[in-house]
Amino acid sequence: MTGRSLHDALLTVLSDGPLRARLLTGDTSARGMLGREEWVMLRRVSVERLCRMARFLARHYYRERIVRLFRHIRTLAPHTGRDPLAVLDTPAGLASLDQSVLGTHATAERLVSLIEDSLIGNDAVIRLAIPYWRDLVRYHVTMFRVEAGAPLSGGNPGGTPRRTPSTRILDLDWDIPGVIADLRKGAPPVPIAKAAPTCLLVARSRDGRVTAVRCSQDIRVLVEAADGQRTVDQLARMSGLSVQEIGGLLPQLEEIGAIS
Amino acid sequence: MASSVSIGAFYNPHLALETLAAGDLIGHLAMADPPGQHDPAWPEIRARYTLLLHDYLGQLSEPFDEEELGRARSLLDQYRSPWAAEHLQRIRRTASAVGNDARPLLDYVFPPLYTEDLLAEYARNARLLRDRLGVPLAVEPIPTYLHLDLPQMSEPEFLHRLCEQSGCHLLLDIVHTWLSARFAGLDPRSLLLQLPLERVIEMHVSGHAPDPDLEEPWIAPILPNREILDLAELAAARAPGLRAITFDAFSPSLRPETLLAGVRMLRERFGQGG
Repeated sequence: MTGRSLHDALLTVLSDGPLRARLLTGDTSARGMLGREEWVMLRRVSVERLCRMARFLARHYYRERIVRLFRHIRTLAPHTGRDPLAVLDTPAGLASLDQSVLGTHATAERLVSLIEDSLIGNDAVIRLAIPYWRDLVRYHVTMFRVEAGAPLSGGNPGGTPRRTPSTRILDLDWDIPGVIADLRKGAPPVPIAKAAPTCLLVARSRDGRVTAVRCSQDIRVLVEAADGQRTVDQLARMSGLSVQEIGGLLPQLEEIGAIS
Repeated sequence: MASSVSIGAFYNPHLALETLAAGDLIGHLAMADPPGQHDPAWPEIRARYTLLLHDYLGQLSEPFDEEELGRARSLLDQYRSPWAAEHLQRIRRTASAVGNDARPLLDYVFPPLYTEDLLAEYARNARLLRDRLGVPLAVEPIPTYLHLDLPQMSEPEFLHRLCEQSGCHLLLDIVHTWLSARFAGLDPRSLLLQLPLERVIEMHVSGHAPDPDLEEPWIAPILPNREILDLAELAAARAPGLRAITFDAFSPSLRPETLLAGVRMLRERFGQGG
């Protein structure tokens, strides 16, 4: 055992709730994952401090993501009384932190479901004042889910265009990009939105940045049809875009991570 | 303490206007993140302030590839930073042990173990990074909340040896030192005086607050109390190479009045009240 191998094992235990539970209950099946000597050493750590540290680190991990990816919902919190961060202090939220495996899709999904429920439950009064409330929630929930999706791996150089697994098409009844532009200015207390069917393409780039862009019907068809099998000619026929137009669009879609 | 020591703060992009409006109050800005693509204040911030590169690469225990070194060098040039600082932390596992997944596992500071093998690797990589950047490199120790029953060096011994072997400087976070002492059951002044203070190039000062998860205090973006300021003063008096003191508050929820009050407090304590 080296300092490095022990520290690797410590990081694993701190970031993986189920594995930590197995270690603490003496379930020897965890030994193989951590290393025999490392397992013995970590069994001697203060259980209370190990669990406290793990919750502290999990809270930091997910708090940063909630602050960043639910920014506009949080801007409206003084008017709605709903702050997604509050979920982390509920019994269900704390349990999720304790059982979390940091960075996994499953943990993100559990947390975002709790957040979504807390934001849209009994929200009739909020929707009277903010009729686009649920669309705004759906927008942020989708951003969170897309970021938590599988990272882009490898490329598809010269291959036929392929939609990436985390990419989502979001249909909204309200002009949420307009609301967000107003919220960014910070001026009006509650932006006025217009009811307008709005389609957004939400994707995650290779470096992890999540982008939401307006999506026309022809681009929507292009993205949905890009299965890695169809050629650009076939995609052009399906979407109504010209081959030249698709040639211009593909680099942009690749840059935001919608197509590989 | 030399009057040439700069008193500054972290760059909080949401407080850019208040920062710029503060005139000469803020002498430098430490950069926790690269500038945002759409930060309208960035050109003026860059033109007006000495900027300090802070914790860009994230983990000195692993070797850096050319792309990482190139990005760090490019950011250093963009900032014209007189030195670079990195946390003395370990937040990702050995890539080869986890399918070459080099992504950080944690999103927050976490200290390494102070063992011989990790010391050798930190020293080697810190030396390489410093040479490639061409400016002094400062390491910032992180408090150890979770102690393992393992023979290892004390934090001061690890830091002395790391600085000696790598030629690095120290970024001394006063609250970190206070927390390290508390978690180890030591007197903070006594721990502080064991550190290689002659290597300190920059100092961070902020407040601390109870953390509900740890059930212990932890660093917080608030004003320092008198004990922390006294500790900072003690360190500054024994740090001949000290060039900057930074009010260590970086948070999207930071209020402008806290940022400005923190810098004023440091100016008053360190005789630069103007």
